[in-house]
Amino acid sequence: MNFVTIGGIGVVLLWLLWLAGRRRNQQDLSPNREVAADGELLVRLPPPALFGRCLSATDVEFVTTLQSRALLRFLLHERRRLALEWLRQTRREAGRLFRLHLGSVRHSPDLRPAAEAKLLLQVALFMVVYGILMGFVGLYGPFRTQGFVQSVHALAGVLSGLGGRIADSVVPGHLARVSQAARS
Amino acid sequence: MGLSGAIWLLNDLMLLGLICRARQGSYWGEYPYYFTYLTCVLASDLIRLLVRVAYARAYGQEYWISEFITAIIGFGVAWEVYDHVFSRFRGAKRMARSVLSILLIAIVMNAFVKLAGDPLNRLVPTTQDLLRNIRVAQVFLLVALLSLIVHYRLPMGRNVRYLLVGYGLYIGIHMVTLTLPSEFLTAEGGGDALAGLEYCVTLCIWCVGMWSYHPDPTPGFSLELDYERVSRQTTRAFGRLRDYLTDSWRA
Repeated sequence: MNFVTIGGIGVVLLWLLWLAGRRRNQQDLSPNREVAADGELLVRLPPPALFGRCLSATDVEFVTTLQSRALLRFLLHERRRLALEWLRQTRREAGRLFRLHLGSVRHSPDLRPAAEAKLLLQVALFMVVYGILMGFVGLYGPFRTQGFVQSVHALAGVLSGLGGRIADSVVPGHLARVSQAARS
Repeated sequence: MGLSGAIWLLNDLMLLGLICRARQGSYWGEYPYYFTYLTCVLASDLIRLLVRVAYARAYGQEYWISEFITAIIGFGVAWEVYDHVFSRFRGAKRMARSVLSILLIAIVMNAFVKLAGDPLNRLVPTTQDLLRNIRVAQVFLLVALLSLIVHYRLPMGRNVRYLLVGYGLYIGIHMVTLTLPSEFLTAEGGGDALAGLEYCVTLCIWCVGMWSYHPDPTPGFSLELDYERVSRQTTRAFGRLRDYLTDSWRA
């Protein structure tokens, strides 16, 4: 093990020690504050259509007709900020849900490592999608990102349709024989 | 007596102070593995001093043997943390057991893979390698325990918190110093003084945190919770959030 790896582990250890040391037990022992009540584990965010209206192409078209580069730049800058804030709001909601979950289950004797691992995977997937979108909006702006997401969705739709057609073309009797062979 | 000797003397006095306080305050039984570890360290220091004066030639061997024994007993400190923090949280304890089992399997498999590559040279590692490996295993153990403590925000008493911070700092720094070039460690008193200083910092932290007994905080209620339902709901909510992220851009 080289010095860099050992140094990295050391830094992680010190960071965790700092995190563990700065917490207050009073907060830790008041789960009533954080236990999920009925309906609290639901996603509370504005409807997605609202964001679509924020990114409406009509505004851009209108500003373009004014032929003011400064105004157009300002509009694009504001739309980028709006898109980033929208994404951050979604992440904050994810944080709220995750904290609520942890606050609820840490006292539970039935806690199952497999279920927790599955949830962590969901969180990781969410963070990956969030990171990709943040990166795209930061680099290319919200309008190109919108186009990119729509293309990806269209492509996914085509692939899904192809998959469905392949599945339909498989003779049901053959499928039954294969699954029977797999079982035996 | 040089600087190194003075540091070791101070360390031994602190160790003695901690052990005496635990006996006097009758809280030895609350942290048996930890105080056994402290007693072993103190005993090894005294034996080391005796060997240095009476059998100077055997000092090198005795030094590494005692280092090895105290490193092994050091696992007791991690066990103490595990026992105290997770005892009131059965679910989190089960989670910790799973994580630690996976970690142990990973460490053992890693050792086997290394042995398979070069069995003759690696079967008998140098004492310094062996010590470093033990410390690395302890660091991984502490990182896993700390991750779970931070993740589930498990409450810790003052004693356990200082115990953990002190030991974490010590093995973290010790592991790094074991990777330093051997010329530095064998320089005139350099390694000895450095090791003494590391331990001095740890003992100062322990003297602050372990000087008197502070019981672990106990949650004064038990919650009736349908874990399955909460877990299912959160997993579903995250799926919805992921869809929401992409659906917003399609609208």
